[in-house]
Amino acid sequence: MRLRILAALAALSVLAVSGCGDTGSGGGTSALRIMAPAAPGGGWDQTSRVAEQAIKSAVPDRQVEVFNVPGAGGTIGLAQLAGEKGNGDLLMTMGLVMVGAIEQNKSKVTLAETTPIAKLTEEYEIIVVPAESPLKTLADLAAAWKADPAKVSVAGGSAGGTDHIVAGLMAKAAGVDPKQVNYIAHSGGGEALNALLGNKVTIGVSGVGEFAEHVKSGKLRALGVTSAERLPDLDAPTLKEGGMDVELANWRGFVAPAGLSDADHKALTDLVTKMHDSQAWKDAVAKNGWIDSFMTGQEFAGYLKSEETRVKAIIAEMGLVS
Amino acid sequence: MSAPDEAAPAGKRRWWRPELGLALVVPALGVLVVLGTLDVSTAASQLGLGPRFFPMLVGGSMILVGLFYVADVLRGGRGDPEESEDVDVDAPSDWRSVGLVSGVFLAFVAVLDVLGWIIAASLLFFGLATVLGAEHRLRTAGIAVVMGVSTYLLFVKGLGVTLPGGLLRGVI
Amino acid sequence: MESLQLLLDGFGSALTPVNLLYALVGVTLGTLVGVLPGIGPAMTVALLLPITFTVPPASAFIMFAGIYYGGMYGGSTTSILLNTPGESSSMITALEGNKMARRGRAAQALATAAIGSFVAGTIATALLVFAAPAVVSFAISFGPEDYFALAILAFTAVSSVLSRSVVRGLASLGLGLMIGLVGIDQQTGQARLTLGIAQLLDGIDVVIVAVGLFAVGEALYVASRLRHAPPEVVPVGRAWMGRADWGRSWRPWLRGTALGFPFGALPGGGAEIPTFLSYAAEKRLARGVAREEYGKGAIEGVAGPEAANNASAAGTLVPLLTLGLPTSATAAIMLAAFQQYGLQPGPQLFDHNPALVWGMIASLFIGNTMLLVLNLPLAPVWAKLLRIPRPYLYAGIVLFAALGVYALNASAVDLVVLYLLGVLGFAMRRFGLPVAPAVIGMILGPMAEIQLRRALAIGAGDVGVLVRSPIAVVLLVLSALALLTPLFRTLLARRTGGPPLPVSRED
Repeated sequence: MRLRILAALAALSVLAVSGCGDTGSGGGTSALRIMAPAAPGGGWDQTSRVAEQAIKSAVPDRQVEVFNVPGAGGTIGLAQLAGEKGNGDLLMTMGLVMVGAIEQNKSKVTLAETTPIAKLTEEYEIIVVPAESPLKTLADLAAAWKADPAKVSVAGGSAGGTDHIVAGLMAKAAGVDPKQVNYIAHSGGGEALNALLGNKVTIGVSGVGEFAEHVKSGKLRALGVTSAERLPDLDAPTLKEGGMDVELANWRGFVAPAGLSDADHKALTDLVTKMHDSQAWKDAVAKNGWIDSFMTGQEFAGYLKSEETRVKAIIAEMGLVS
Repeated sequence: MSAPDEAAPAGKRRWWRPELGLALVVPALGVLVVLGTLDVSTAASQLGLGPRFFPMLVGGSMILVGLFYVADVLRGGRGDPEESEDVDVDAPSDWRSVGLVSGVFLAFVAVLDVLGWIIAASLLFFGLATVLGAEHRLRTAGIAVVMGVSTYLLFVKGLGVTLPGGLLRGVI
Repeated sequence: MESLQLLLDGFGSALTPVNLLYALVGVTLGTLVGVLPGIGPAMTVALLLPITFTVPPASAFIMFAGIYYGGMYGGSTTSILLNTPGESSSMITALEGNKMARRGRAAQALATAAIGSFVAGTIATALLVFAAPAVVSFAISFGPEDYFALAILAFTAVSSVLSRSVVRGLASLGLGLMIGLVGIDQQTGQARLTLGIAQLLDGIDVVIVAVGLFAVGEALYVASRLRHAPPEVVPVGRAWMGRADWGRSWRPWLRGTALGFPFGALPGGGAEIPTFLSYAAEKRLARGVAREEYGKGAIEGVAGPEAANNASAAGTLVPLLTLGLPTSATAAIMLAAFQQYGLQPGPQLFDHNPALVWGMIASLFIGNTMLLVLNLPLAPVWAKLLRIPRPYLYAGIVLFAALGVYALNASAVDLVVLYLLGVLGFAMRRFGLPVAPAVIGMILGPMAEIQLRRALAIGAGDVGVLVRSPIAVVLLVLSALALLTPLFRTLLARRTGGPPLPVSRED
């Protein structure tokens, strides 16, 4: 008994304090559901929740609800989305990582069974070394790689993820067999950061946001970034400048189930466009250090295709799929 | 040591005891671990140990330990059943109750998405409590519904957990 | 002493009525989710993340920190009373704690857990203020070879929970190691033992294992041999720790704190490993009454691990605040919360937002005190949980177990896995296979494997790297000592022909 009373009290006080009680049913159109195919707290979840707030501010009479379907690089969420054919009230947040995960997990469902809606944001990758490292430039790195790839340990996120793909592409550009990359997978940026700060590994690859603070404080040194142009307030050359012809953005976007009617397709695209134009979205993009790279319709569908081809090729070259 | 349960009906079946079943599971799982990881590919360059080293170690040890375990049981060794305040260690196993609890739980899993949390959870609570010996049906049913509804309200409305709405979606 | 001044200012900002209310809500919620099997602080903080859109940062972090500490404490309650830990970090507490409860010492077990958590939390928070830089450099210097040695040391803790029959203990360990293997291999991205089920690619969550083996296993076991006669009501006993209890608790509290705090600061260290180590250490150090009581409900086996898990929660905050390095699931989500506010934890955070950081640290002290004030009087009340008629009690436990596991991934597959683990837990109880080694194997196996492989890969295949670091050598020597001393002692006793020392084990 006491347990329940306590529970109810706690729940009530949370509601009261945060002032975000439920608004009850009703409203103009049917509720939009946004699936974050990952656990709460990660990048896709964050994007979904920011989008929820932005849609609520841009189209106040539309109900929006975020739900999480975590697991296997998003492919479990993808399989669930594929089962909702023709549902015009469902969006799924996804991105580059999912493209790789589909390949690697041999997922039966692919992105061909979705309707691409929009690309939203990009984040670039950064290549760093510990402050004490003898490597000063990308050319030094290329030379070290060529001398003995086994001696260059690369810290990054999960095997086959964005960081690993960047490392593979860089090795290839430097004339080293991507299979030879001595990649040390870590769970999450924190662990890899620890290995770098402790000078346990040769280089680190991760999202700019993960390492930028430590580059600025001088604990890590940036060798390069994967963007096409130099990033503002970060003193690091692009990979191209450093002689490695690699460009890669960790992008995120929305897809909807396959088999949408043209009207539903247009309605979703319009809604997402309105969201993108809202001040709430712009603020959130700035706050999270994302780069706005909005793209819809055929343009996004084409982009998705080309990314699929590229990722497929490099994952195979790295020996990650059998 | 008194052996109250499965008092052997003398003769040919004496060597068989349910504990042997569990003992055999251990080396069997060891074999499964070894066989199940044989096809894990090691295409990527891995300095040091590949993805198959550790499974081989674990599987091999399980086979070895499992065989010792089987031998121990065959020679008459037995583990001490865990004591618990709610458990009558000397009572024979009531397999019917175990089966019913299992049935109720698996049925709950099967209908959860269709019926939704409130109904499925209420049925789960009611079913389990009844199997475990709750006497007043009506009171049990009442408590079950209160549990189902209150957990739903607390976790879905209060904390934003995703639980299936099922039949009652839109009503609550 | 600049820190002290800043801390006092922090108290100034944390002690507003609104923030106190948030702290209260946080510790209450935390205790509550800690009590419920399967629902932990990480999940709760993640679910409450959206409040960062509406609530000022100081208040949100004060609440989150309260949830974290509360969750660490709350998990012990059901461990002690019902043998069904609410959190994986409380599993070890169940070993002695539940036996104490069955002997009518539930209130003392709860009290030593509450006071131990308070002592550990307070000391560890003070260390957070004054020793953060030292702890951080220690955490950073930890390489894969050191983690591997640490895992080996923690494995020696298994020997203290093997129960009477060594072969059964090892069989249980093997089962745990196997469960730990399921899923994608982190280093190469290859699926292992997933049987083609996509939901198993990410492995089996430790929450499912803990809740399955303990809560569901216990429910099935109770069903199999339900006491049909009305159970004799267990006397809850005196509601306060006696002089002897205090005397036996304070050293384990301090040792638990010393173990838990640095481990919390290590990425991947987690709260479980220090609780294993604390349990094993207390068992080794036990003398006299304690030695006889170990395995039948020794208060040391509750005091140490409970202190260790709370201290590790504070330890986690050190690298989070000073480096932006999350070392536990809850910390990772708190990091996300910082980013929601556009704050980047790290060296600059202390300079740019001193009010926020010190307010949060001050609120940790406040939250800790609140937990004690809230829970000490509640201990006898919680103990009355045992008066709930058994059918309702176990039906409720299974209901919450299912809720917590379903909430992890919204996946029915997880519920089936939960059931299968429950059956395993039942069989293990029924036939006397100890459950603790399985849990230790499940947590340590993956860590040992991944760190060993990382160390060898970084060393380009050279096995020598494993003993190149002094930390690793020390840890490995300690493990060897932990394994060999009892053996040596027995041998010595046999050699001299005297009666074996009080280590008497039957076989």
